[in-house]
Amino acid sequence: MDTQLKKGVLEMCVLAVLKQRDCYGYELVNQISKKVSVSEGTIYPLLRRLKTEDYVEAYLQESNGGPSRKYYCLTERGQQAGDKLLKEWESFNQNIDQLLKGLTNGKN
Amino acid sequence: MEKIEFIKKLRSSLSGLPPEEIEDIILDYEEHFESGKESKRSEKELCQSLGDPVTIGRQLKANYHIEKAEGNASVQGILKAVLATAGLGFFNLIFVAFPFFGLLFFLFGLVFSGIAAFVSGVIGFVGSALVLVFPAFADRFSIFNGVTPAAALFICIAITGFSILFLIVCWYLLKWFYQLTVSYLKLNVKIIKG
Repeated sequence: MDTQLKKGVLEMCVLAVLKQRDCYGYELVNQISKKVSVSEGTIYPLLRRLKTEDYVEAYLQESNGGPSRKYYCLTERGQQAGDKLLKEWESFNQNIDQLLKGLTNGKN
Repeated sequence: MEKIEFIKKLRSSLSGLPPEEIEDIILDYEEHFESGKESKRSEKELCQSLGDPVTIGRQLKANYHIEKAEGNASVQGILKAVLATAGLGFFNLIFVAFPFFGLLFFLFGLVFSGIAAFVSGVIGFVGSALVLVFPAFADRFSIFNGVTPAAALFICIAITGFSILFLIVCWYLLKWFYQLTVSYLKLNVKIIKG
C-alpha cells in the first residue's frame, strides 16, 4: 500500500487496537506490523503524538518477573476520534467497492 | 545494525530537544528492544523492522516543534517547526518551506508598506501643521504645490488613519497565517512519508 495512505490509516489502526484492550508498545507495534507492512519505528512517534493530543494515556505496569512496561490506553476523546475515523474508513471502502464492482459489471 | 548503534543514531538525530524528552523517547525504544528479545528476536532483526533511526528522529523532532508552536505562539517556534517539517524529505521541502516563506515575505511586504504609509502620514501631518502655524515654512515644503496646508493636513490624517487600520488587518492576517501554518504542518507529518 502507498505510504501516504498508510500513515493516516495507521492512526486509525492504533486507536482500534487500543479500543480492544490496553497494550504496551512492543505488543501494539507487533500486532499492527503483522498485518500492515510499516517501519515499526514510526509507530512510536505516532503514539507520542496521540498522547499529546490526549487520545491515549500511558501508565507503567509491572510485567511477570520482568521490568515494568509502559502501557497505553484509550481516552474518551481517543475513542470518539477512533470511531469517527473508522466510520469514514468504512464508507470510503464501501464507495470504492461499489465503484470497482460497477466497473467490472460494465465490462461484462 | 544493533541496539547500541540504533540508540546512538537516534539520540544524535534528536539533538536540540530537551534532555528529558530525549530520555523519554529513548526509553520507549529500549523497552521495544527488551520486549523483542523476550520474544526471541535478535537485535539486528529488531533494528531492521524498526527502520532508519535518523528518519524516526526527524519525525519525532518535527512532531515536537509543531506541538510547541501550537501550544505557545512564537516566531522562533514556528520557524523551527517549519524547518523540521521541511527537513523530513524533498517532498516536504517543496510543499512546506517554499509556500511558507513565499507567503511570509508577502505578508512582511504588506506590513512594511503599512508602516511606511503610517510614517509618511505622521511626517506629513507634522509638516502641514507647521506650515499652518508658521506660514513662512511654506517655501520649504514645495510638495504642497497646489494643495492648501489645511487640505494637506486632512489628507495626512486620513493616510495615518488608514495605515493604522491596514496594520490592524495585517496583524490579524499574520495570526491567521500562523494558525494555518500549524494545521498545515500537522497535516504534513500525518500524511507524508510513512
